[in-house]
Order: sequence, then structure tokens, then C-alpha cells
Amino acid sequence: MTELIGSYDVLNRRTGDFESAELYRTIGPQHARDFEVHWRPAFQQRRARMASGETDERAQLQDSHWEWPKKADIMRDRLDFESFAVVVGGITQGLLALRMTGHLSRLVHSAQEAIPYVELIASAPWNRSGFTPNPQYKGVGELLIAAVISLSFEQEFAGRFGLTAIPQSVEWYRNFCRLTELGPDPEHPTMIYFEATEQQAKDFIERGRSAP
Amino acid sequence: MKMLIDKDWLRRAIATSPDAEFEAGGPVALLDSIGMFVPSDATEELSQSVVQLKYAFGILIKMLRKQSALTVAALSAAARVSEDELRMIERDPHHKAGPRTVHQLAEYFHIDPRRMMKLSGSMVTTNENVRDEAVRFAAKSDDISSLSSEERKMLNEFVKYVNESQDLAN
Repeated sequence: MTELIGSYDVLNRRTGDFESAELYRTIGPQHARDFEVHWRPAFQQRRARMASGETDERAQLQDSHWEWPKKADIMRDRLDFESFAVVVGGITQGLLALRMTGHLSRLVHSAQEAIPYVELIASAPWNRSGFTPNPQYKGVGELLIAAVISLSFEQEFAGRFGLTAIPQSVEWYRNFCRLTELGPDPEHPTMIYFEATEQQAKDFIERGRSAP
Repeated sequence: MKMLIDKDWLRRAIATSPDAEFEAGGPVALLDSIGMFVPSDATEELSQSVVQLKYAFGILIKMLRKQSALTVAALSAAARVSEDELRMIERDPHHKAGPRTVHQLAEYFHIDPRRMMKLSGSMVTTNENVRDEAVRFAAKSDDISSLSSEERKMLNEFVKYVNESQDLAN
């Protein structure tokens, strides 16, 4: 069941003002609907512009992404998945899916220990600098990662988690989140695998407390 | 669930964080590979340059195969890829090779898979140098049954470019 965790302020880059953002635990029907109504058309428009005879394999994989609101239904009933949504102005601005079991740390000193794994973290297309020259909200990613760390501590994973970043996101995880970079992900060789240690998770939270 | 941050924390984090993408996870990789994170005004030009890249990719695979003295069937077996797809890659610049096929071929010929993905059009690159180098390479090649020493040299230089150039780095 969807639960409101709290309200935070994100920056509307277009106006320069902060706006209230709601953080929800467990993606609900409203968030899935926003994906269908607002996100998907943007993806489809882009896909149409890029279309040049994609293979069945690629089309299938893309569809598997686009079908994930259905997967959100399934996740709601599974105890090994957690999910979060960020809503601003009544529209979903960011989504995150987290697998809590079955993923083992790849760090030498904690190898074979289970840690949460971010299956997906994504911002609405209109918030991405790579998608539009005039992206709207800033702070969605920071809020979602803070939620992952908070949950990881609460569920006794000591703040640790792993994720696999697309090339454009590598700098953000390397330099802003300051996670440990462990090279190409064997399952997704074009992407880079990162892990947060307990200390890195603590530092991430502490930096925000002590920043000027 | 208790959050370890508050409103002020997020405002401060926003002030110090760069304007950058944060997308992660396997499904996002597919969106990235078809240019979902490329500025929209660049995508039309991209689709044309992708065909040029794929043309060069097909020639590269064919020349590497010849250099190894392999038939299509032999390379198909050795790299564990479909024979039909291999033929399509070599002959049809509009054919988009599957990511697995590209990865297998890259491994077999000892070329960085990620760079090979860009050359094959499986991943998007906006770097114009890559297209220029690929077009130059394709224009110099000649469809003969075996490689001349000049072609062998050109092939080696292009493989070196694919593996080492900053144009194909992140």
C-alpha cells in the first residue's frame, strides 16, 4: 500500500523557485498512470524520431521497460521489492525500484553479503538535461538516493546498496554521491557498477547536513 | 519508515549537486542505447549518421574475418553468433545488429565491446569524429577476396582507433 513518507522542496529550474515534493513509499496506481499518460508519450515521440529498423530483440527489451507499471502491481505484493515515487504538482517526477534480496556485494571486504540493489531509478523525461534543453525539477535524484540509504539503514543493511549506472550518470554517482566504482557490470557491459559502503552512505547524509 | 534527511538537507544538496543525469538500472540502459538521453534536436541527424557507422561496422567485421581467414560460417561458430545475422551485418548498412551479437564479435576480435556497440549503432554516439573516421575507413576499403598489405595496415589502424580513441570513450 502506498504510504506518504514526507514533503521536501525541489527546485523548479524554469522559475528558480522551490516547490513542494511528496515522497511516497510503494509505487501506486496514480504513479503508474502518470507514467502511461505523461512519461510514455515522451519516450514514444523520441523513439519515433530515432526509429531506423530496430531488431525484435531491442523492441522487446524496450517494451519490457514500458510495461513496468504492470510490474509495479506485482512488486506491491512482493516483500523482496521496495519502490518509491516523487510527486510534484500532482505529477510523478521520479521513480525508483529496489530489490532487497538476492544481490551480493562485490566489494572485496564485504563480498557475498546481501545488499539492496537499485533495479531502476529514473526521472521524468522533462527533468533530464539530456532529454530537453530546459529541464524542470532538480532534487528528485538526491531525494530518491536519500530514501534508499534511509531504508538500507532501517532494514539493517548499514546504508549499503548497489546500482548500475548509464554512462551519462557515472559522474553523478562518482563525484556527487562518491560511491565506489567497480567497473563494467557483467550483466550490462556498457554500464558501470557502483556500490555504497556504510561509510559512504553516512558521508552522503552528513555532507547534506554540513553543507553551507 | 524514517528518513535521515529533512527539507533543509535537500535544499542544500540541490545547491551543491551538479546538473546531471542520475538514471540507473538495466531497463534504463536500453533507453540510453536508442538515444533517450540525447538532446532532441540532435536525433534526426543522428539517425543518418548511424547508417554510416553501421556501414563501416559491416566492413570492419568483414575485413577482420578475412584477416583471420574465416568463412562466415566459421566465424559464426567461433564467435557463437547467428550466421544469418553475420551476413546481414556485412551486407546491409540498415541492419541493426543485436547487442549480444556485437558483444560476441567484439570479444572474439579483442575490441572493446562498449566502443564496438557505438560503432555498430547499438549505442548512440554524438561524436562527429567517430562518423568521420568510420566513413574514411569505409571509403578506403576495397571489396576483394583477400586483404592487401595496404588494406591490412588500414584495418589495423582503424581497430587501434576504435580501441583507443577518446572519441569513443564515455
